[in-house]
Amino acid sequence: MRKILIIAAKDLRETFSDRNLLLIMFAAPLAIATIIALVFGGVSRGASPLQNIPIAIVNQDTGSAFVSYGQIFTEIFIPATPDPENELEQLVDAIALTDPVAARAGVDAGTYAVAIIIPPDFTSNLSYVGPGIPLGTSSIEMYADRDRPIGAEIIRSITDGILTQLAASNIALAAGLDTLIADSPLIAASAPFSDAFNNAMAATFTPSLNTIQVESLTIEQQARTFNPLVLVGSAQAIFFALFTANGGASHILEEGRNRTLHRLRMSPTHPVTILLGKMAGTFVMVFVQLVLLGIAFMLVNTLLAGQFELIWGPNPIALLLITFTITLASTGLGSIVAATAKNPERAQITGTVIAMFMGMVGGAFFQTGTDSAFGGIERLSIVYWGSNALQRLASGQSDIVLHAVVMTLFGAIAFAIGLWLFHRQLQED
Amino acid sequence: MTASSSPSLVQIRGLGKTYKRADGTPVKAVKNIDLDILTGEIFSLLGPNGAGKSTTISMISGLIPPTQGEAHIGGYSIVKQPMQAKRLMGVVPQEIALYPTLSARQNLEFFGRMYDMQGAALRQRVDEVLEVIDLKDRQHDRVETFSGGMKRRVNIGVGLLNKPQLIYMDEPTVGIDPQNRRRILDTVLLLREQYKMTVLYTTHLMEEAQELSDRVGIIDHGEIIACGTQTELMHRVGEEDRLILSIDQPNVSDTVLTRFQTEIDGVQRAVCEINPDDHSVKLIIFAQRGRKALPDAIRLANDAGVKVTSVEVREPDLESLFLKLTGRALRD
Ligand SMILES: Nc1ncnc2c1ncn2[C@@H]1O[C@H](COP(=O)(O)OP(=O)(O)OP(=O)(O)O)[C@@H](O)[C@H]1O
Ligand SMILES: [Mg+2]
Repeated sequence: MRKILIIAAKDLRETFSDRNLLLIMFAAPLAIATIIALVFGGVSRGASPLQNIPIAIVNQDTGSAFVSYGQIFTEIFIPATPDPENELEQLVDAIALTDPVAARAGVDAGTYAVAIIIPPDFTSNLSYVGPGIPLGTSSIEMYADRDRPIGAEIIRSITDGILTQLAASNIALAAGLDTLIADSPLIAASAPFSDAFNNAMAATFTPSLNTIQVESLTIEQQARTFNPLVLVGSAQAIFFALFTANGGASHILEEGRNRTLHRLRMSPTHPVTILLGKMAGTFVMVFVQLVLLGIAFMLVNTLLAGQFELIWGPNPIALLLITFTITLASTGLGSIVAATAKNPERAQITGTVIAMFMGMVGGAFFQTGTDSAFGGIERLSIVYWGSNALQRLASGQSDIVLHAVVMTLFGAIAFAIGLWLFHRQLQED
Repeated sequence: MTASSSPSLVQIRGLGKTYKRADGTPVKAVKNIDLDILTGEIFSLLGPNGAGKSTTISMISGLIPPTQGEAHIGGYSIVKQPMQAKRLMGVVPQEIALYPTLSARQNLEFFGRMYDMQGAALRQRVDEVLEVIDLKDRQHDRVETFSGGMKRRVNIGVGLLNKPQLIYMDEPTVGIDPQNRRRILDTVLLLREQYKMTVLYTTHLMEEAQELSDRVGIIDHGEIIACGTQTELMHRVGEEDRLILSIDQPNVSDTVLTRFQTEIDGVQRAVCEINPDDHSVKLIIFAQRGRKALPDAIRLANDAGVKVTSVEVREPDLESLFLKLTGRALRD
């Protein structure tokens, strides 16, 4: 047991004396996630790497005699005359439905990333009633698949943008009418006017004062906003952890090449001890990487948001458990890759291909709006299970048991296979 | 049987190794070796490249399993009791086997821990070893910044850590300058004189085997073809000297070679040796009394039209034994 720790400690020492490795372990995922988070921050201005997010719009708005805000809103997403150059039309694939239940079911089934449901009284609540009477508030429901949150987040920010403009013009109109009436010699009371106008102006600059609200709902009926840094950061961290695990496990092939493995085997040390020591070293390396990245993302978020937030959620125990199981699964995978490779170079190629695959279907590079995009093969990906669990924890949920079990089983089985393959090789020649 | 009751610390019986090439064809690297290494001696295994020296060391250090036979170290079977056997030995492998990004001291401390040393005892032992290999002043530098000779010395140092009774050194002087080589040879002698270690030393250099060894085993194509003290081995060569004529032509005909044997008094035979590296050609004449035969040999060479560029007379040595046994040069 002591020797296992000694070998693991030696591996860590070697790793932390390798500057290139540290760069890949920490700097790269941090930079990529931060950049993507910044880009997503600007999504409402039209900069987005995504395309064709499927959404359903149910417009139940009955409108007023003059205007239907629901219709205006719908036509922004589904114009009467399609324009392929329009950025918004490229970004979303919107379809109009009439039944809100069907729309939500579509999200549940993964057909749509988001269902936007506009209530019947949407316009009437917002309509100008008379001088001095404040405008009512209204809300739009956004029903999203929380496992595919990036698309939902983008639609939400676009919706916010549209509603802000709607509210602003509505209020401006109201203010205009108020002003007209106030100027009229027939009506002398002008006192409420300035209040209404001030509120109106403030609303256009301060979203929280907006008279139109968006209610975010997910499949579990929980309101939630998504931090892009959590979304991208969790997947990126795991994606790069796969590389660390692969590199760490392949280090034994390196030791075979520079003959230090032979030297270890000529010492009175059992081969299984050597293997366990190497794997323990890799395990600690990956774990430390994930923890440090998690902390780093929190610091970046503090800089971006201007205040400190516990972006990984309020449950440190569950967070540690998931980090542990991600580490186990990644290291196990790495040990199989290393055990089946002829040399460190081959292990790196195989490991990279697997990591790219897992990263791609698991959402490290882009997220499609829906579950069905990969037809379920994302469930083969450690990136999928890990980042999904982290995102759930981040949003305050705790149903991550399945995730933990899947990754633990995967890790344990992979470890056992890797160990067995290695041990067989050591005995061969 | 224990180490103290037996004169031989290492007993090798019927040891053999057949590798499988990638295409499946078998390579008999070591064939049925019997060998005893006596407590306290320096034993050299002398043989050309590919003779099977490293394969033998790998088997008796527990690194690779033999395909036949067995070896006992201090009474412990290397196959059945590897942990006990390994504790008795230190190994200096032919290739540098160190962690390049760790310092000399970190390397020594790590491997020391693999021999169950720790704490103050480990630190003290590492200090002693650094003294022996003369690298105290560079102990905190990364091994990758060392010269070839310095790496070789650290490589040796690791083999000394556990104060082994027995140390295997597999061609420890390969590829280094004369100064470092001298240092290493002195260290080997010191190990026996001062630390009473038993040394198994492999080399393809006759001079090293001659200088260091109490006994020598000559290995070729995986077989021990001669084994004994240097005096015993010289005895087998007989009184033969060698006349070595460097010549300036690609070959010498068999007829001419036979003429040396029949026409010059005291000449037993003559062979033509081509060095595959620089393609230089040597005519080697084995004669009872070399200096006496020399004038006749040169005259005959002239007669036969063989252009001689230089001449050398060598007394019997391990090289001539190898040549006599195999018909080939050991080459250095
Ligand atoms: N792993 C292996 N697989 C197949 N053949 C091998 C293997 N290792 C060694 N051999 C072959 O076994 C023979 C003996 O090799 P070995 O390394 O023991 O020789 P050596 O005496 O140490 O030579 P050198 O002086 O070059 O170190 C050679 O023909 C070599 O090609
Ligand atoms: Mg060798």
